[in-house]
Amino acid sequence: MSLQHETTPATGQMTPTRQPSLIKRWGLSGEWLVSSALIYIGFVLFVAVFGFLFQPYPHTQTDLFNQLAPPVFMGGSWTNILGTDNLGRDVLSRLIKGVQLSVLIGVIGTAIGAVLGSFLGIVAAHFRGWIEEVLMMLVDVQVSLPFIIFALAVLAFVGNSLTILIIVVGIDGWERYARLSRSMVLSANQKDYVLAVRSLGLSNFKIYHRHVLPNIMGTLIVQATINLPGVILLESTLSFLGLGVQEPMTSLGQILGVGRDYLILAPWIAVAPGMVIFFLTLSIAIVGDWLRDRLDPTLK
Amino acid sequence: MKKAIDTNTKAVKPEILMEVRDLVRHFIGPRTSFFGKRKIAHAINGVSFDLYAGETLGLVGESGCGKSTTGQLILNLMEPTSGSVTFLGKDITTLNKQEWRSMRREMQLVFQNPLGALNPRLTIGSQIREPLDIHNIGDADERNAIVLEMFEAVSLPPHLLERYPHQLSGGQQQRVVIARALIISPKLVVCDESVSALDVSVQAQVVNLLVDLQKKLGLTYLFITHDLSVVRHISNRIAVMYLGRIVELADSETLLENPLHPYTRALISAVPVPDPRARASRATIKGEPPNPFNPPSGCAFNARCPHADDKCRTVLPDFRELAEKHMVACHHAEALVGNQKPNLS
Repeated sequence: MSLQHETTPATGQMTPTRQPSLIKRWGLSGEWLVSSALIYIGFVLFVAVFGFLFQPYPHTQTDLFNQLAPPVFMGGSWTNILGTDNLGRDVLSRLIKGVQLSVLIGVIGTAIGAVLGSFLGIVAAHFRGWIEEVLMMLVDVQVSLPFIIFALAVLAFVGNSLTILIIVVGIDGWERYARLSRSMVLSANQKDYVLAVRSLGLSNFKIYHRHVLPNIMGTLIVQATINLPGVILLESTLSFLGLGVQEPMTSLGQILGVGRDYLILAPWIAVAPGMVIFFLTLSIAIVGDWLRDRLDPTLK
Repeated sequence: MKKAIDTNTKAVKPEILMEVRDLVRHFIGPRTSFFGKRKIAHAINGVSFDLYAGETLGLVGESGCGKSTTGQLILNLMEPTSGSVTFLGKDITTLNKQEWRSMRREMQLVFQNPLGALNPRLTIGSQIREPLDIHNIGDADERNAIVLEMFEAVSLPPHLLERYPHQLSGGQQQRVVIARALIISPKLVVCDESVSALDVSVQAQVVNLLVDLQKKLGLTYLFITHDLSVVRHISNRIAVMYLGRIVELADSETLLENPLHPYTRALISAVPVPDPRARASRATIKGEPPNPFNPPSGCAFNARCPHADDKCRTVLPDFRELAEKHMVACHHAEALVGNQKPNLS
């Protein structure tokens, strides 16, 4: 019977690749990697939510007599564990505040893109015809438009506020979900198991809810974990260009932008948020990979 | 000359379960140029047959001849372009959504590829249960009891209920698909190449299972396949399709012993005979079936037929009853009666 599996390897299989996950390809046992990634993400989320409880100073408090003080491990004092920036603001306090806003923007932005894009993709695949053509044309427009220019235009015309910023970074990437979910729904609708329940008289809503979505969800979640770091980086980019988070609010990207000017003189300003972003991105990717395996019973 | 046509007719006319009349289905092809007209493929071009209650009708033909499309049309998984399908006295091509919901219980489909017919993310048990859930049959305990009973009927061990489809063998998967189709006790089951993807030994098991279940539950099968050696084991009658039309329809014995259409003859002689020396006198056909976007005039088989003449190239042959219960669509069928009997052990 194994022959049967060999001759029809891909049927019923919705995830685009059947390769072993990245973790397994690296030859690692994977468990400690995933655990530490999960712990790190948990820690960042904890800091984002409860960080204000142990934030040493207000993130806006300046100390002009203590500018560019080095962190403890570079010979600084314990009053500013991660040193201070060009205005003598405590880097650790700013980092805690920045994590809060970056995670908020990243998570909500990703959710907006994922829900909007997947929904439009499913709509396109379900109705076909002119609805599909219009939606896919919008996708093509979005793909061919440099997103930074688009964001610049929106923020310049509509004005800058946190809500608008979140919506703008949320829109980024919707076209990827739309394309992905459209093609997956198109192929899922051709699957015999969908035909089978349709011939039993199951309603369209339940077909999508019970048979189509669970089979494409894994891929969409992986896409979201790929996109989440991108959204955080996009927010950083916009903040760097002065279009993102505005003072007195702060985000990881904004601290990074400030730190860029003092990279030689006071590298800790940029390195601290840089490390947080780097490990956050990596951890999300590792967890996403692990989730993909967990969500697919055929890979167990 | 041997008497060609088997004329054992039953006195009692069996009850007709389904009447298919002049079924037509077109597919519209892609635009070849911006201003060009879209071409139309006549996938099904006037198919008519009756299904008697409790019988198995085999539907055979090459790939692309419209067998599967016919199956989907009579289950209304696809809308016919024209024609009518009468099932249990109702024309099912005109039913509304509500009427269809109840009608769906009466007819089911068993697929070719069992793994593809099962949702990879649901356990076997919940998939067999699903038809009961959809049609609100019984309460939770009753449903589980029916599932167990059905599982036993297709001779699968109960511990497989908690498994996922990919953990089962191909034969087991097909039993699951059959169990899911039969659990709401339909009257008509369309088996679309249901055993073609299985090993020969497993094929035999599944065919025997289908026959047993038919006797037990009084099912009617439309058995679609390209494999004549399978169809002769299960069918009471056989219909041969070629390019969207039925070209011959008769009792299995009659059709296999005395095929009248040259295409049927070629099909039968293409069945492998397990004897290395018995390779003489095969009525082979050359070439490929014509493009349904551009069918030949006259008889669709004329380009490949050894008996074709001018009439075949211009006039479409009627589907006529040449002998008792033996329908054929060929101008030369009379001349071919009893002539060069194909070698089929």
